[in-house]
Amino acid sequence: MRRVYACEGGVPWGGRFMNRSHVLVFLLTLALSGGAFAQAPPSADKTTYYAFRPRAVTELKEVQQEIVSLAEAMPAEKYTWRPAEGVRSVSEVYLHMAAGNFGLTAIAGAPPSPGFKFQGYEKSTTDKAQIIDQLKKSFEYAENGIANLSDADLLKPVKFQQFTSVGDIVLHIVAHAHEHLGQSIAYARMNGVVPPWTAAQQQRRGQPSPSPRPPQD
Amino acid sequence: MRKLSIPFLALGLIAAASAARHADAQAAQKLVDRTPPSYDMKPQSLLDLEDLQKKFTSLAEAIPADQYTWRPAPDVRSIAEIFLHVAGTNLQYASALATLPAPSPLPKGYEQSTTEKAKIVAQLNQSFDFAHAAIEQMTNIDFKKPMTQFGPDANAGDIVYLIVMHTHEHLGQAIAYARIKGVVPPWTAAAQLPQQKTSQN
Repeated sequence: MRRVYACEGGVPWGGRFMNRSHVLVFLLTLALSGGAFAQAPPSADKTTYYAFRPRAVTELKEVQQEIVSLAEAMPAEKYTWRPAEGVRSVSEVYLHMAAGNFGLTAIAGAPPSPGFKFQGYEKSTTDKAQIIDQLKKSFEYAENGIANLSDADLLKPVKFQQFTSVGDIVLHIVAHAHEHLGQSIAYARMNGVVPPWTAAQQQRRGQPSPSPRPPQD
Repeated sequence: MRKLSIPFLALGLIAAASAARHADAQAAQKLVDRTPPSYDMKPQSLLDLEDLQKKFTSLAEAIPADQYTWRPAPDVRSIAEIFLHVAGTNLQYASALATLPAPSPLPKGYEQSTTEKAKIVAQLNQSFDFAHAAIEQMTNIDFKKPMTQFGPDANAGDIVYLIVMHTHEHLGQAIAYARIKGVVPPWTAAAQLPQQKTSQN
């Protein structure tokens, strides 16, 4: 399932997902199974049926692809642009994302990435090529780190901010990357840069802006 | 023969009861998850959504109403459209989980349906409340439920994942919009009260 489904505007909606027969089947299933689930031992609810780690890795790969292509599309002279004083610049947002990947994945139990030091990292360079290299390395480090965890590792306790387990940290690694991707897309738009994947879609449709389609980001 | 029949009947009943218990036990065994214990992402997803709701609604409150139609470029969502896009996605995908009766389908052009601040904040709150309640209904087992309308391998866990990550992405976008309009996110402003900090968000 591609992550951008949500923003494509083409997702079928309404009766297809939740018509009356679905409601009936759902209620019947609930009535038939509810008692049995209630008797299941507490450990059953702790068990993952959902492929949590593969989903996290897939999401990170998609965010990586988008943020790297966006960083490449941003002109080098815009890397020091910031929307206001006291707010991260373009380069600082990219390095903050990379720091999140390096730092949080180490907290999740991966061997620390050699050469990464959190202190001063976000302001360590404004060089476009170096920053793109750091982004790529940080995402690959996080993807490999999560892929190498076991399901049992996800339950290990962690004390970091509001998070209490390795699984919480893994979820936060992905959320953190998504949040700063959204911020970076806004920064790009404010500087007249169309995200490359949106530009590609528009080109495929032979549709230069302004278009009758809903806004894409 | 009559003397024998009672013990036989009793044995038969015991055997039948035992078989029934055995069948129950077998049925129960099928419901017990034997895979190694692992992470249940529901609690953290709910905590995340609670935090996202607070941030989205406080940011929407902090942005002046006359800025709601601002957009960074033509063909890009305005502030109002981002908020309604988030609300619409929460409602759509949480409804697709089918754990609660779905609210009315979104009207066509929902994202452009209003630019009124109070209505938009109310829509945000309603959508987050519904998404939270819909996920609350799920057990860990439900996360594996196939949802092939989203893709051949998609399941309910993917939809929860999508709701959370989609919201995070647009929060980052909305914060950047706020900043360019001179609005400091309320939680950052609160954190800066004791001491000035640099480079937030």
